[in-house]
Amino acid sequence: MNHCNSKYGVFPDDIMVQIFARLPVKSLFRTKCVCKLWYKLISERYFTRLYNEVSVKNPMVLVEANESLSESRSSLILVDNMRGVSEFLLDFIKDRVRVRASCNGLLCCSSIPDKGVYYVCNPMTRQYKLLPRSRERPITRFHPDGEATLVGLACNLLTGKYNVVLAGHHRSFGHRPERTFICLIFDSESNKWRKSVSLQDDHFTHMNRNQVVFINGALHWLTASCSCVLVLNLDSDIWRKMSLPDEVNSGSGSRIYLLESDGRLSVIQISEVWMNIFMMEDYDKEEWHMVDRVSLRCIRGMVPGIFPISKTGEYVFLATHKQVLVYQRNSRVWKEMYSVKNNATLPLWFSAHSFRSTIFSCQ
Amino acid sequence: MSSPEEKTLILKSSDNEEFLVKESVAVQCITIKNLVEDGCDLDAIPLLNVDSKNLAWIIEFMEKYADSTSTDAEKKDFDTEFVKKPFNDVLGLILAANYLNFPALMDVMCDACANEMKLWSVEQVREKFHIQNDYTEEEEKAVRAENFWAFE
Repeated sequence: MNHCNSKYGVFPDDIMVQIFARLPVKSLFRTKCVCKLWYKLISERYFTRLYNEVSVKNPMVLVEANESLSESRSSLILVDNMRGVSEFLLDFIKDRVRVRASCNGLLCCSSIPDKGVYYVCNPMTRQYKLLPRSRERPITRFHPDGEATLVGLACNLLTGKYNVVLAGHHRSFGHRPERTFICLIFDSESNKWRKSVSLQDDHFTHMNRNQVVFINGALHWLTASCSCVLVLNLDSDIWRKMSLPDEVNSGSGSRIYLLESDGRLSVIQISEVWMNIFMMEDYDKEEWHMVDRVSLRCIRGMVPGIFPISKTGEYVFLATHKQVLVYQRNSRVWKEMYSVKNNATLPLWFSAHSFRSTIFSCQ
Repeated sequence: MSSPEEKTLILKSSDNEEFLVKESVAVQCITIKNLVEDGCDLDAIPLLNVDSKNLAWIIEFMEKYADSTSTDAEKKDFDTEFVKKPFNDVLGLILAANYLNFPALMDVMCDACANEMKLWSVEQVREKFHIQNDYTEEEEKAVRAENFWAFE
């Protein structure tokens, strides 16, 4: 018998997993060393789902904060509304990498020295996978780092499977962009890439970086022309468009951002003095509702350089050049969560991603 | 102010102490809710697995959570004070909340338990939960090595 006859007899397994599900990741993995039964309970697929369901409800912001451009290690700062600021290294990937996408606890990273090399990793459990090379030559556009225009990561919490999407135009050197839009999709179940090709559409040519939302089995990107949401259904590999809130289309001089909020699509519109928050309450009917209108008077000076990164129904995380702020909707209070100590050359918002800590496996 | 139809239940602990609780408050425990809905017409509802010490605490918690005038912030403050109990009592309340199927209490107590647990070493966890280590020395070494980063 594992447990001696204490006042409580054996603490049932189903209660123990409820407690394990609330431990931070490091503590959870240490708990595997307590006894063989607990190792087994924690390693079960059922428990991974339970744990992730609990942990995924706490969105955070992840920024790449390198001390200087020549710094060789990839250092990640994680800002958590409940637990504050912590630092992580991606040194378990023996390569210099840049984070390209984040979804349900996994990150998709591209190699800085090796173009076309991609990894998927879980920074909490330090597990990573080098993705097989897709046979396509790297997709290029007029882009600072010359890599795929669109990167998306879709992690399905129910099935434990994930997809990586790379999409963009082929452009031969010295030529105008070709009409074809290539979409490469990596499937963790088959460990293979598949390719789909479609004809060029105006809206495919510009995309917002870092803001892609995975919900309802589809990846959603906001086009930089901000006229619609581009949706890729991963079951059918079919692209379609979704309209933005009516109020957003008519506004001028404001910036639009697409985020996930508690499993739903959310759009944030920032003008000089207002931050309007929209939620898509009904996904099938594509109906948007404005749920909040926040005055930006008290942070007026920061408005031109402020970008929303992550949100829930209760709060919004935003990044500026040097800070990460959180806005609490109930109390209508702004708080600084993190600020860069030195003069970093790259603004924080440039590399900021929404992140949730889970124990999603990338193998 | 309770309406004329507001029903009061008698909850009886395992050590035969009786507690009066409004039905609307008590049904936060799904086990009690089911009994009431199934038309239980006993004078007192016997809770065989809950002693008076735990039942008194549970009723205190139930009444706070059923109070519509208390704000989220007030509930959080209440929770913070409520969980300041010896660890064995925390475990006892978890068992009782599980038996009574009281989700709100289960959440708060499991969170409290996890918050204490996360600070402990593996040996301390074994001691507090009365767990026998069934790993051999080599096996334990291997598991620790596998998860070395969790010990840093």
